[in-house]
Amino acid sequence: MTSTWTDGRRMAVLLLKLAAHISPPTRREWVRAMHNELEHLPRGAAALSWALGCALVSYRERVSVMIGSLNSVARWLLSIEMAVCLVPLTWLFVAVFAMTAHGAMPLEFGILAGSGALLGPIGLLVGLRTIFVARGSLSKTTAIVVALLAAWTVVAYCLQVMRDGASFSDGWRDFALVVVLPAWAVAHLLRINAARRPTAAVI
Amino acid sequence: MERTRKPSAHTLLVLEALSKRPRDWHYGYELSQLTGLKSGTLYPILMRLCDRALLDSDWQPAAQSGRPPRHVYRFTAAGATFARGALSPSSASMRRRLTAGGLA
Repeated sequence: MTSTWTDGRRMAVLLLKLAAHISPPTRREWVRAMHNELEHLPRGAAALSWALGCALVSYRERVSVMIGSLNSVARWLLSIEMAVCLVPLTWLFVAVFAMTAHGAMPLEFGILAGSGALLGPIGLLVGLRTIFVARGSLSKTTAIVVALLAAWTVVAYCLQVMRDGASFSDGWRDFALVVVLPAWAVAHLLRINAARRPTAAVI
Repeated sequence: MERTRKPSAHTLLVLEALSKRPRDWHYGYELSQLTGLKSGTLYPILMRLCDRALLDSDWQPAAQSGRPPRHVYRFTAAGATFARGALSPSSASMRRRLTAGGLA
């Protein structure tokens, strides 16, 4: 038995102990299964590679459980996050709609700005439904629509900036409120949605 | 309502490996060798298949003394039916491409 092999083996066992420590309780039997299988692997790098894979599986399962289990505190935190990220855009949508309807804003600009801000109300509704409906997850179509709206918001904002010729240093607050925060909310929603899909579908 | 999604190419490889001897128990390392999948890819698939009651799992004593028992897997009746449906000719071409690309 070479010292290199012994070191590799020791490292593999350490990784599997780490995997057992971080894995959620529901997956402990699986970690034991991976650990026991290690004893039947041939010597060499295969054991280390096997153990590394097992540690990654444990991390993924832990993260999946953490994201999937939304307790009441997390729901409220997520609601606040969605409100902070999407309410400004919702107000923009309402303001643009009202101004365009009253003729205070050119129709062409109203359509561009309004469609760009449409993500605000729609994202807010979709976000609150995802957070508060038990085991609610978005359909594929809804997820695609929300992602496309987020992309269109970015495009509409850029078109608007180019049209006005404003510099970024002047409009960084608008950029944060109209582009960055809503995009963050949508990315987080889609991540939560992916984690909350029935495990049966994820094979 | 439970959604059904087409199995991934890696899942199809696992289903195919299990289908060769559907009534026999298979070890994790054996499946890894048959499919070419690393443990980090293989075990999540086995977990999901067990969660869906498509696979049975059990512990079997090791053939060699002094070794720990091994976790083994085989199809349930529902799993065998699912595999037959999933391993259709159209999905076979996708698996061939994956294998040729060195991913599997």
